[in-house]
Formats: sequence, structure tokens, C-alpha cells
Amino acid sequence: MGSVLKVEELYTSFQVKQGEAKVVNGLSFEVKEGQLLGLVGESGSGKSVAAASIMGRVRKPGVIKSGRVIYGEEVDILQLPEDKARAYRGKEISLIAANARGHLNPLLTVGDQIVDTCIAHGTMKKKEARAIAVEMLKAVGIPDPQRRFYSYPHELSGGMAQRCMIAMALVNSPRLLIADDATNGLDVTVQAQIMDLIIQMIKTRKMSGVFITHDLGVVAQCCDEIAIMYCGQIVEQAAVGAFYDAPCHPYSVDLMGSLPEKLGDDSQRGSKDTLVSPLCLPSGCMYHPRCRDATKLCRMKMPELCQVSGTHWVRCHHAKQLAEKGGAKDGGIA
Amino acid sequence: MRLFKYLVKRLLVFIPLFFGVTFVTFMLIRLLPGSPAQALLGTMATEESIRALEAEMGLDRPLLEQFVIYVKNVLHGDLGYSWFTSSNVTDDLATRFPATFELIFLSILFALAVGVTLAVLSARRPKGIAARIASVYGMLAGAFADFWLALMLIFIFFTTLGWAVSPMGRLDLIMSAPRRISGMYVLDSLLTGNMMTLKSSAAHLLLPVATLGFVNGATILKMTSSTMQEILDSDFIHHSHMLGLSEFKIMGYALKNALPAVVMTVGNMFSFLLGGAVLIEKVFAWGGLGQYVTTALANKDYSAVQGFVLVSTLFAMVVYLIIDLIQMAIDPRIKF
Repeated sequence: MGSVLKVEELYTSFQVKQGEAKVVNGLSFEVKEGQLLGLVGESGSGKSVAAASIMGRVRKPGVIKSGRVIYGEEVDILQLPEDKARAYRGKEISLIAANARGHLNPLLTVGDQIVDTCIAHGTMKKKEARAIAVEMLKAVGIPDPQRRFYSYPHELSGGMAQRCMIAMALVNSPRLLIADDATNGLDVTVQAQIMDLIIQMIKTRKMSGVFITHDLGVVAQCCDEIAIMYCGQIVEQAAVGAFYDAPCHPYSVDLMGSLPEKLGDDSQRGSKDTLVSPLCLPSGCMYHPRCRDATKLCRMKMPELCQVSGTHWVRCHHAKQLAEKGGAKDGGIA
Repeated sequence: MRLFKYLVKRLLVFIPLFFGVTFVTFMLIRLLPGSPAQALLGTMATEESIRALEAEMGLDRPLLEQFVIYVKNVLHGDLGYSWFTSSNVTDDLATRFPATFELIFLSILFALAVGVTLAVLSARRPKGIAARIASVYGMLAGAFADFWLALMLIFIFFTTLGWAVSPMGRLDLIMSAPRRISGMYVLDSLLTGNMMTLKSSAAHLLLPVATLGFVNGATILKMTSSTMQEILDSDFIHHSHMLGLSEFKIMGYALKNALPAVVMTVGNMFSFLLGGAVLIEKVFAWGGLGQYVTTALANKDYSAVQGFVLVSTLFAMVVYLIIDLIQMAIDPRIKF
């Protein structure tokens, strides 16, 4: 399987009044062809900024400090001049965000917005693009697409708007789709429908996908691989089955312990509720202020990602011990 | 049909507005100290002659009776006589309104061209040359008084360089006005094919339009700039970048979204400048509405002032109606 996207040592920070907020701190991962990767982390862990950085466009005052985002085998999107990088956005890699209505131009019909996206990456005429747009609306399950072509975003429900956004993201048949919390803010039933739609689209179009979410359930259902993000870096990455069988990193264990069905179960640990600010990142392991098992080493030295089994990687000084114990769910490190 | 209903509804609003504005102006102007008869006869006039003139003018009657008579006349299309120009207020306004309208229309057009262009260019490159020019221009235009700028322009371009025509009125003194169609000389010259008056009236418009345009362009620039910045920072613009749309297209999106605010500013400017361009009218001896109403106010020329207020109310109403229609055409979220 070839690689579609390789992110290497990505650093993004925001220069704010109080100082430099380091949001993405050495993020590295790879998405292979046809693979679905779930990027999971709590709010503020840098998931969305990571998505924007991968697209090569972070909102001000954010700056991509360093790193490589390699599309295909050799193109580093971050090194491309803006006009060249633009050709990849929406054409090779597409992004779907939450709150679709806020992400659509309020003064333009959804049809015209799809047409604009279509024309931006091709030499086709408006008429052809219109036909494609209507087809696309139909494909994402918009009823009466001919008529809905002329709808404005405010005339659509949240779910419908999200479908239109998906149509816009897929109209140029990208190889990789990044869904950044794409179902956030929707009704639970609509969430499931939209999730199904995204997965169906990715599978039928033979694309790869990155699901950015804080919903572990969604990842368990539809992804091949999971990467847990904390303070802008991956702390654990594994095949979905292996991860859910035995999460190793104390943060992953805490995340699993916070699932509603696990609450109240004393055998599952909860993390100390210490907040870590990107303005003042802790020394050593980023998770040590919240980790119940932190040792002196954790406070001093940043751990590297280390392999605990075939495809299972953990960023913890005690990873090996945790893995041997079958994950930390039974207690932790002595 | 919906548009027609909407228009009728908007026009119906004018009826109570007309009575309200007329009543308030009518009463307020009579609260001013001194009487118009006194102003007409001068300070040496005797009490008796003043009383006699007041009776002749109808000012001795009870206020409400005067008001009813005035409203009746207005409803018959008679705005009364100006005691100082000795002519019909309707005629006075009909000659002065087009003069002012022509001036402010072209000035706002100029202001729009300068303001919007600079705003778009500086939004595109916030650290570029255009942005620097825009920030200096915004500061300068905010600091200049319009009449001072007018005097400077006259000094430079008329007195010193001799490039501009004499800043006296709307046409060369020896020239007679083009055949009246709209009352606006440039338009009438164009319509009647009178090249002489076209050239002369355009030349006379140059400096006052440049002054008003320069000063008001800054307001449009600031309004457009801040709205554009807000929009360029919005989710949908960010998403448009993610879709790989060209910078040109994205600027188009942003400008279209900024337009409602710009249109609103322009509308306010129109209503304000109708009477607010008075100093420029004075400097260039323009003979417009602002000049007319300030003289009328100083002389307590009741009918003239009331006539002006009515015309400007009507004008403001039409301007705001047009603005609302434009806003509706731009923004589908605004409904009739």
C-alpha cells in the first residue's frame, strides 16, 4: 500500500499577547492508500489546527513553524508556493468541517458554490460544472437536487448543509478526505446518517480518510487505525483492534475510562484534572502533570514514540511495562 | 406582486412620517427667538410695523391654525413663499435640489471608487503599498475639514497653477444653462448634446467633487476595510481557501459580503450631504440646497426651512428604500 499523506514533525503555534501558544508539537503520522485513520483527542489538543496545518493554511495569528506534509510520494505541500499549494486543496485533499452553515458563503446558492469549487480546479465550462454539481448533490443524498441547487445555506437544515459541504469537498474527487469533527453540532440521528454517508463516499470512491473526532465510538466503528493526540502530538497509534484491546498510554487509558459506560467503574482510572496550557507546556512528557503514574524521568525527559508490538506505537517511558501488563487498565506502573 | 405590496407599504409609512416631520419642524422653527417680520424690516423697525407685517404674514393667528393652513397648502402642492427670495419655495427647491444632488452624487461615486478600491487592495495585501496609502489617506481625510481642503485645492489648482476654472458657481459666468430636463447641468448637457455647457459644468464640478469625494472616501474606506477584514477572517472564507478557490474569487466573495454595509454607509452619506455639503457649496458659490437652508434659517424664513425639511425627508425615504431594495438583491436572508 502506497502512502497518501505523510506528516512529519509538524509544529504550529499561535503568537498571542501572552506569548507563543504551541498547539501542534511535532505531529507525525502516515495515511496509507485506502486507509481510514481516526485522530482522537480532547478539545484543545490541536486536532483542528493540525488539520489546517496539513492543508497548509492556518488562521492568523497561527504559523506553521516547521515540518513536512508529504502528499503522495514526494510533494511537500508546505514547501509549495501559495498558488501551487492551492491546486492541492480541494482537489487532492479535501476538508469537511463542523458547523457547515457557517462554512458556506451565505450570499451564494449551494449549487453555485459547488460550481465554483469545480471550476477552480479544472478547465470545464460553467454548464458542465452545473451538471456535475447537481449529480454531486444527488450523490450525497439531497432530495430534489435540481431545486436544491438554488437553495441558500440559511434555507437548509444543519444535516442538509453538511451534505452540501461533503458534495463540495468531493466534487473534484480528492484522494484524501479530512473530516474535522464533521458531525459535531448535529442531531444524534443526523450524525449517524452523515457519518455513514462520509464512510460510504470514501469506500465507493476508493479514497483515504482522516477522521478528527473526540468520539472513540465512531473511530471504533469505522476506522482502520487510531492515533491519540495530546498537546499537539501523537501519544499512541495502533490498529483499531489492538488499541481497543489494550490501550497503553496512560492518557488513552484515561480517555477510555471516561466513556459513559465506563463511568462509575472503579477499576478504570480517571486523570487528574490539571489543565495544560499550550502557552506553557510542561517539561518532559506532556502528560505528566495529569498522569497518576508519572515518575521523575517523566518530568525530565520527553519520551519518544516506541513500538510495543507490530503496529502499536506509544509515547511513554513506561510503554513496554504497560504493554506487558496488557495495558494499564489493571493498575499502572508500580 | 410581493415587491409591489412591499413598495406600497413603504410608501404608506410616508404619510404619518410627513405629518410628524412637518409638525415638529413647524413648531420647532417657531421656537427660535426673534420674528421673521423683525428680520425682514431690520432692527430700526417700529413695534407697530412689525405687528402689521406679522398680521400680513399670518403669524398673528394661533399656531395650530397656522399649521392647518400650511398642511392644506402643502397637500395642494404649495410649499409657500420664501419671504427673502420672494419666490415660490417649490421653485427655489426645484432649482437648488438638482444642483446639490449632482454634486453629492458624483462626489459619492468618486468616494466609492477611491474607498472601495483601496479597501480591497489593502485587504488583499495588509502590508502592501496600497495598505500603507490607505492608512495615511484614512488619517489625513479624517483630519481635514472639507472647506479647508476646498480652499487649499482652489489655492493650488486655480490661484497658483491656473489649471482649474474659477470656483464660482456651476458654469462659466458668460454661459447660460443647458435646456432644463433634470436640472443637473452635466446630465442635461449630455441629453441636449450641448458640448459647451458639458465641458464647463464638468470643469466646475471637478474641485468640489474632488473635495467631497476625498473627505468622504475615507469613511467608505474605513467601513469597507473593517467589514472586509471581519469577513476575510470568517469561517466560510477560511473554508473557501481550503477548497482551493483563487484569491480573486475569494476577494469577490468577501466584497459581496461587505457590500450591504457599504451600501448602508453610502445611503447615510446621501441623506447627510443633501444639507451637509453647505460649506463646500458656500466656498464654490454652488447655489445648492445647503446654502439655501442655512440662509433661510438665519433669516427665519419659515416656509423655506419647512420646505427643505420636507424635501430632505422625502429624499432620505427614497434613498433608504433604494438601499433596502439593493440589500435585498444582495442578501437572500433579507426578505420583504
